[in-house]
Order: sequence, then C-alpha cells, then structure tokens
Amino acid sequence: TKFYLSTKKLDFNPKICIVGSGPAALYTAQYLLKNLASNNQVTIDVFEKLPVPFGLVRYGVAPDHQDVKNVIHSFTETLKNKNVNFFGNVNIGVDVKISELLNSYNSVILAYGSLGENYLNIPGEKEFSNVISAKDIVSLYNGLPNSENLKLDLSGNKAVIIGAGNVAIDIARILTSPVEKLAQTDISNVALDLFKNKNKIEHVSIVARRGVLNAAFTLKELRELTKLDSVECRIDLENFTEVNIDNILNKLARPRKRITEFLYNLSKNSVKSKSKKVIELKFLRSPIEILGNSESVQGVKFKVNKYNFDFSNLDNLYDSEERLNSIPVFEDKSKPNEVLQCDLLVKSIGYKNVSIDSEIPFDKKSGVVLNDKGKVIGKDGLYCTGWIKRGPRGVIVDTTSDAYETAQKLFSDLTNDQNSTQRPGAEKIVSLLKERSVRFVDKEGWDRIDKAEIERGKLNGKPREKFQSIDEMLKVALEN
Amino acid sequence: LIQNRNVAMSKTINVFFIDRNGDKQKAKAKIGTSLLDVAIDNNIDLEGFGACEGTLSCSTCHLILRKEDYEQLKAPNDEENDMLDLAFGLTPTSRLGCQITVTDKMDGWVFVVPKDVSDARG
Ligand SMILES: Cc1cc2nc3c(=O)[nH]c(=O)nc-3n(C[C@H](O)[C@H](O)[C@H](O)COP(=O)(O)OP(=O)(O)OC[C@H]3O[C@@H](n4cnc5c(N)ncnc54)[C@H](O)[C@@H]3O)c2cc1C
Ligand code: FES
Repeated sequence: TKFYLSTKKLDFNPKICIVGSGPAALYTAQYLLKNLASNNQVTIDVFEKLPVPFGLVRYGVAPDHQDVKNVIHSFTETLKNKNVNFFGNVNIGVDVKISELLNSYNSVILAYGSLGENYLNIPGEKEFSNVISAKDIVSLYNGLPNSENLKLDLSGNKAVIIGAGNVAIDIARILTSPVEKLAQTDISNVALDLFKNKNKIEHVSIVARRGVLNAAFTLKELRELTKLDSVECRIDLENFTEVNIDNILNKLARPRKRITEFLYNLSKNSVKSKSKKVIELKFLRSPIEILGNSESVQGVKFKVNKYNFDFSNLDNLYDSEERLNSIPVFEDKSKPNEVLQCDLLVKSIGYKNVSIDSEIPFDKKSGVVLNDKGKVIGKDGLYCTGWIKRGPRGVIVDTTSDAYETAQKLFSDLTNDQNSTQRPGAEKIVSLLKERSVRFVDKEGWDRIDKAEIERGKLNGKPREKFQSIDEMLKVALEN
Repeated sequence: LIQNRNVAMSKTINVFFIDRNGDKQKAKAKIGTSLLDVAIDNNIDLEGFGACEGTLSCSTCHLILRKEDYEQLKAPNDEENDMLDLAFGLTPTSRLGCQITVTDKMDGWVFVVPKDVSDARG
C-alpha cells in the first residue's frame, strides 16, 4: 500500500482535532502535517486531559529509561508547528462532548490510550492492603498527579508481581535498583523518598500464568535485568522440563527463538549467590487466592499449570505468536497448590480500554473502538489511533503504524468527501471552554511548565523535576 | 548518543535511501558517521525515523540492506538484535541505521526503509 502525496487541494481549510497527546496522537499529527499541510492550510488541535502532553512516554516509560523518552524531542517539534495547537487540561467526554467536537471539526481522532486496568477477580484482591496495581506504582514513580496518595509499603523484603510483561520487568527493576541510580532520573520525589528511606525489598518473583514460550516481556528488557550489578536474575530449569527445547528452537520465529534461548541459558547459569537481591521468573502459575492478615497481604496461592501439548509435534507453523499463544495451558492436577509468601503484591496483568463518551462505538468484548483501518465504524468524521484502536499492547514504535494507517484513511476520506465544508474548529470549542470555566493550557503554557520542570531538576541533579499537582502546573502555565 | 556527528573527516561518499513511497533519495555520507546521522544531515524525510536518537531504544531506524552489502558488515551485536526483534517487517538483511558506521566501501549502497508499516504487529 503506497501513501501518495496528494496534489489535490481542498477548497476549504481542514480543521482536525485529536483527543489525547501520546505517541499515537503525535505520530498521526506528523503524518497529517506532512501530507495535508503542503497543499492546504490545515489546523490540528490536540486536546489533552492533563495540563501536559506525551501520555505514557511521560507517565508510563520508566524514569531510568530516559533514552526511550528522547522521542519527546520529535513530538515537541510537532507541537511547535504553527498549524498545531495544544489544549491541555481539557477532559474530553466531560468538559467537551465528542458530538461537540464532531460538529466543530472536519475530523476527530481518538487517541486517548487505555485508561482502565484488568482485575484478577480472586478472593482477597480487594481485602488486603499492599495489593497494588502496576499502573498505580508506575504512576507513583513517574509523578502522575494524584498518584502520590498511593499507600505503598516497601518495609517487607518479598514482592510478588503477577504478570510477566515489560511493565512487570520495569517495576521489578525499579524496586531493586540502587537509589543513587534512580536519583539521577526524573523519578518523582515522593517515590524517591520512599525508595531512599523505606525500601527493604530484596526478592521479587515475577509470575506468569502461561509457560516459558509465552513470556510477554521482550529480550531487551530481560537482558537489562540480567546485567544489573545489584540484582541476580533467575529462572529455574524446571520451566523447561515439558518443553522439548532442542526440538523447538528452530521452529520459532526469530524474536521468540532468541528470547527462549536466552531464558534457557539463564536457567542453566543460575548461580545462587547470597549477597545480591534476586529477581526470579516463574511460569505456569495462576493465582487463585490472595492471603493476608488484618493488616496486609502475606502471600498468594497459585495453582500449577502445564502445557497441554506434545512438543515433539511442534512444527514450523508455530513461528507465529498467535499460534504459540493458542497452545492450551491447563491446571496440572497432579501438583499441589503453591503459596508464595510476600509483603507486597503487584498486579501487572494489563491495561484496559474504556469509553470516555457514550457517543463512541466502543466494543466491550474486544476492548477497542470499532474501526476499519482507523475510521470509527458508524460515525462519519471520527477516527482512532494507538492503544484505543488496537488494544493496550506493544511499544511506541508500533503506534507509528497505527498512526500511518489512520492518517492515510482520514486523508483519503477528506479528499474524497464532496460534502466537506469549512468548520469553525477551536474557535467554537474555546468559547465552550470559556462558558464552562475550563482553564486550558496552550503550547506556550506547556513550554513554561517544561522549562520550569527542567530548572527544578537542575537543583537536584535530575533531568527534570515534574510538578506533582495539577494546580501547580496550572499556576506556572497560566501566569503571564 | 550521536557522538560522531561532527567527526572532522571531510571525506564523503554517496549512499541512497529508498523511502516508504519507493522513492530513491541520494545522500552524502560522511565517513565515520552513522546512517542515522546521514539521514538527519541530508534532511532525508523519513517519518518517525530515529525516535530514540541513536540510543538503541526504539528500532525506528530500521533499514533493509542488499544481501551482498549486508554480508560485508560485521554481524549485529546482541543489543542491536534485541531491538531488531521489535522492528516490523524484519528481514534477514535488516539492520538499525544508528548502529551502522559509514565506511569507504559503502559508496553507492542502497538502504531501504521498510515500506509496509501499516502491517501492524498484534
Ligand atoms: C508502564 C508502561 C511502560 C512502557 N514503557 C515503554 C518503553 O519503555 N518503550 C516503549 O516503546 N513503549 C513503552 N510502553 C508502551 C507505550 O507507552 C505505548 O505503546 C504508547 O504510549 C501508546 O500510545 P497512545 O498514544 O495510544 O496512548 P497514551 O500514551 O496512553 O496516550 C493517551 C493520552 O490521552 C490522554 N487522555 C486520556 N483520556 C482523555 C480524555 N478524556 N480527554 C483528553 N485526553 C485524554 C491521556 O492523558 C494520554 O496523555 C510502555 C507502556 C506502559 C503502560
Ligand atoms: S534510533 Fe532508536 S534504535 Fe536507532
């Protein structure tokens, strides 16, 4: 599929708005600018719930992964484009309805990411303190407004993380990293104080329901764990007993092959040293009950699973992740349940999409906005991109392909639609915001926040010291 | 980082990028710089290219080489391979542009930017 630059000039100046300002939003803006702006006076208005842009790049990506956050430089260029406007602190669905956006713009793009999270739905989940969702810990160490109220107790020495994706690895790494190292990142002050003075965690178990062939984390993140000086990363050889490793390696697709091989070598090398902190990977365990006393969580009970599959029959068709994930995993009734003691339990079992406005054709079952190549089905002028379009999976680079596809679809709809006319765009929405007393942050306001945060960071030897509260942000942004 | 940007070597060669539209773009490549630098220095417009600025944390600088060219290069290290694993449209002759240093022998080489970016991975 080629994406031809159109030489067609529209006879009006298209007004487009994007809901959200994460990677999906800004990559989509980049494509649209490139392909619409040369022929038309296009305007792209970005509405963001928070006063500040960049979504999970700012509030998800771990603070010790500043390199990943470099992508912010290119997003900043996009925001600076004279045809792009930023409206921070505007909660779409609450402050402004989708129908109002649709009336004011030629196209509205949903890029609001995944606001919800999954639950284990097992006994004890809501009863005991220190059973924490990954999302809450991530928000805490990244300084998301209101995250500072999280009651996280690190005074015990054992943590269990349920779920084995990159987020689980991030959390395991942050929990066991030397404080001096964290202090040089843009970690929130609240989290840094907690880690500095009260972190006694020495042993982290990352536990996955499925087997070693279905690990959801990527090799880059795993390799990093194994290279940390402060931590020993382990996986028991037992995880490979069922899997006929010699037979299967060459049947797997390259990424899966490399990670499986790496895990296998790790299992053979595991040396049990006593001096270091330990991060241990455990597979084929489903949590069935959370245990605790009147005060806090004390452990998790797991049933033991096994692959229901004859691995000598694994053929070359298993070079896809889909196929590998279709291998059934059942409870192994011959094994007794296991209890892992812990003082902290982290649930890292995935983010979840939600609807922000009843107007949006959101499919609860598949957990995405119903769409065809990014065009929302049944709503002319409405598009979607990123996690809300595809589900909460994948890395930043994956949002570039979402963005490309959605921008392409929008672009061709816009140039083919005979009925498109000039729309008022921000003019209309700003008057609504004023009417409703919603104070919004424009790009100059964000620039003031950005500069102030970097300045504050200098005092502490950090790349930036984020403002923790929305009030503080607004104060800096709206001062003149 | 992009340390090699200002390497004081005047010698340049020509290389070519084939962008996502299939268009061939000529670029002057300074010996000792990375292919990411070359793309930036020549204002080669490749959307999203080089997002992590050469720190081996993004894989947006994915390029496909001709087999005969690929074979002349030292094999990628583990860290580059880890990132390549996440690139879409991975081929046996894929590399990350930020990890390839321009040398004399690359005169006339062609680097293809993977086209099928809309083929999103699940
Ligand atoms: C903890 C964590 C760590 C990660 N680490 C990495 C990593 O190291 N490397 C990597 O490549 N990828 C990483 N990812 C994945 C990456 O963050 C996502 O692929 C990407 O951010 C998804 O982009 P998005 O734009 O769809 O959503 P988001 O980044 O979530 O952006 C959505 C934006 O919409 C805003 N919004 C929500 N509701 C509204 C509303 N009602 N009105 C207006 N705005 C709204 C949000 O505030 C947010 O700014 C990580 C993800 C998580 C969760
Ligand atoms: S620029 Fe990010 S990996 Fe090369």
